[in-house]
Amino acid sequence: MSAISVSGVTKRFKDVIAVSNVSFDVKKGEIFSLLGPNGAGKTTLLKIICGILPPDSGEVKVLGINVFENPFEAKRRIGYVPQENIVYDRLSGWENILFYASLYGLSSAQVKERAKEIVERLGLESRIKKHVKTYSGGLRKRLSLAVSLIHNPEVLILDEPTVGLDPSARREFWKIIEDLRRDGITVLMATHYMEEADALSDRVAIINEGKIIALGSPTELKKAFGKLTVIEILIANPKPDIEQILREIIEGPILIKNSEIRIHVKDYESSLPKIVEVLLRNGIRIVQISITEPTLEDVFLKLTGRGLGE
Amino acid sequence: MNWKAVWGIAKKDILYILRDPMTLFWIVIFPAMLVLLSAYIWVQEPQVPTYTTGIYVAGQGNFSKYIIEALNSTEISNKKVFNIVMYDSNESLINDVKKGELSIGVVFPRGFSENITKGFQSQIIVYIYVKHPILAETTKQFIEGYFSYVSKEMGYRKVEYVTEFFKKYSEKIEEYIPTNVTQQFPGNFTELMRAWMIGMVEPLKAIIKEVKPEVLITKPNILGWIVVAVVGVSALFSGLITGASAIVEEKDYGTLHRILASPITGWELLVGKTFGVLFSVLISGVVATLFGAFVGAKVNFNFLEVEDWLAIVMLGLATIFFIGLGLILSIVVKTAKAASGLAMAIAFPMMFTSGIWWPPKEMLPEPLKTLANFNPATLAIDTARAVLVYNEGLDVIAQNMPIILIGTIVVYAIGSLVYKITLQKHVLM
Repeated sequence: MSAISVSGVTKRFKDVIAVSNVSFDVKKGEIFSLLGPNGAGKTTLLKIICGILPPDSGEVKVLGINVFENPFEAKRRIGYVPQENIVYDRLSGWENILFYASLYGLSSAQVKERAKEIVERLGLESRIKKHVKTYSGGLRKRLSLAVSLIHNPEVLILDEPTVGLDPSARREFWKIIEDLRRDGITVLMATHYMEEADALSDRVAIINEGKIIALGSPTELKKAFGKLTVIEILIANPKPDIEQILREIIEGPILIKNSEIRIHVKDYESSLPKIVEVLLRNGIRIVQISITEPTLEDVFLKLTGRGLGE
Repeated sequence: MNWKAVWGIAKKDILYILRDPMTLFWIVIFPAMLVLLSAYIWVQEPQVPTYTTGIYVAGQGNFSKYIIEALNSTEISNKKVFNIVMYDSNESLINDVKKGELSIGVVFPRGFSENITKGFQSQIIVYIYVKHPILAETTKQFIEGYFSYVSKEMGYRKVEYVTEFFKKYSEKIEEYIPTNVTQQFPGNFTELMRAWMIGMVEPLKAIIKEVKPEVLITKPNILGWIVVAVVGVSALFSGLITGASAIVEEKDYGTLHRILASPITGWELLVGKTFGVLFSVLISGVVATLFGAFVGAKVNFNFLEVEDWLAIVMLGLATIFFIGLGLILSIVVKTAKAASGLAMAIAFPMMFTSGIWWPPKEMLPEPLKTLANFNPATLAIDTARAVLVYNEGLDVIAQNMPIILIGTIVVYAIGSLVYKITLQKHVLM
């Protein structure tokens, strides 16, 4: 039995199709990521899976329980951390935990032991009695996770869990998610950070305009990239017309992020000298050139013709 | 019903209310201010302002002089009432009234004193500056009352004067008066004529005596009457405004999705929210009562009397009605600002048409009077006043409680329905 089973789910908001006939299964104990740019339909899909937004058609089951036929039973098995802030500023961390525990019908006595364990695990001990308004972004995220774990869910659903965190807080958060998986919790995560999906996920579903366009492990997806090679060039003086300049000689996908250019080519040995020549001719100073493995973003670029951040 | 969830929501909201300075204003400062201001303004004797009064006398005479002197020396509570300014033309006086430099303009026409001396009716013209309609109406009533009093006094003096005349010169006139009239004063023709002339001066004399319920005679009881209204108004305002922000605020915080993802029903959310707001109204009630006690208000609450407790239950039910109304707004609107604005837009007309302050319910136009008869604020406050101030019994409660109870049930049924519909239409998302 799958931990999460989504079949034929469609959701419309007036004329906009947010999710279009989406189907996938999440196995028990795996970390499954929905990777896609903002507005791809990831959050809508997660809300449907959590039972707070009914789909127009299709079916969602969590641990074999139909989420819309038996919502309370399903919701008891799910821990949901939405993208927005879910902790109350004028309450302490502890009061926040007690509040969310009460929504699951847990008494203070039942919560005490479990809360102590979670607080220790997430490194919140020293701040748990303080008002949340004094917390940093990273601490708030950890507290949000703590309140969503208090009822001991078997499935954890995270929507953009590390948005707004600095790189070190992000890595700490990844470590916590991996620890939870080791405890047997199934994690379904929506993200637009390809490094996050790549580093954490057992499987990734790439979602664009409400549809899943590729699904597999990060390695499988990158293999499906084919025989294309990625040339990564770091430049000193980015210009707005770089893509136009490169289009003189490149037909395939080009991804430009500030001073970093990623170019997909079939034969890098013949393409590279031409690329260097055209860049230098246009006064662009090259800092570093490398031939790299494709990332999930390259996969997304190949499939959609645009980057995850666009 | 998951009571742990209900209590959890209520407890969280209570903590939030206690830690929010803005909400504390509404539940603590607002009722305190209402009690203190009401005690200061309503229980004082009405203050008569000093009227800047312009006077133009068209033809000099003794009587106009006497009246001007009387105006000049009139005082109420040791405060001069008329500040007299003399004018030499009718036009300049009217111009100054129009400009608002005079509150009142008095014109004694030509022949004023002469007509009085001859025993004819004399006229006086009074102009009143109408900018503030209520103040102008009060001024008009005061001036009418004042000159009516002066006119009567003059009439009585004329009676005394003519009586003296009859004493001296009217030995044979008795023969010309019908016997059924003279029978009332046998042998005393002068007294008969005096009584007859008094009848001419003031054919109808109304003797007005105020009959207040015994308990309202004292200032503490009047203050008690006010405190009950303040508790009711606090229930109306705090219930509606805090209720209106209860759910939409969760939307603003971003926490609503997370709450909806937990296994609670719409009812549990609404009931939890209601208890949270009810607590804030309870604080308002306690604050109003404490400040009432501070200014000397007297409310007859006996812990052993069932009707006293039922009066409190009535106030509680009215509060729950308003919270329910606020919660419906909170579900429907998109922002906390809109919710609070809408709540105000409902609360103010409900207060003004409740008849609990001014104007009293009996003076409202007929459609508003009907509305007031079904306004939970009016019903609860009328009941609480009847029981806690006038010491009346269960009949008032029996009459008003079913209306509030049904109203509250209807509001919550609508609230639950609106919650379900908005959830299905994703308006809460």
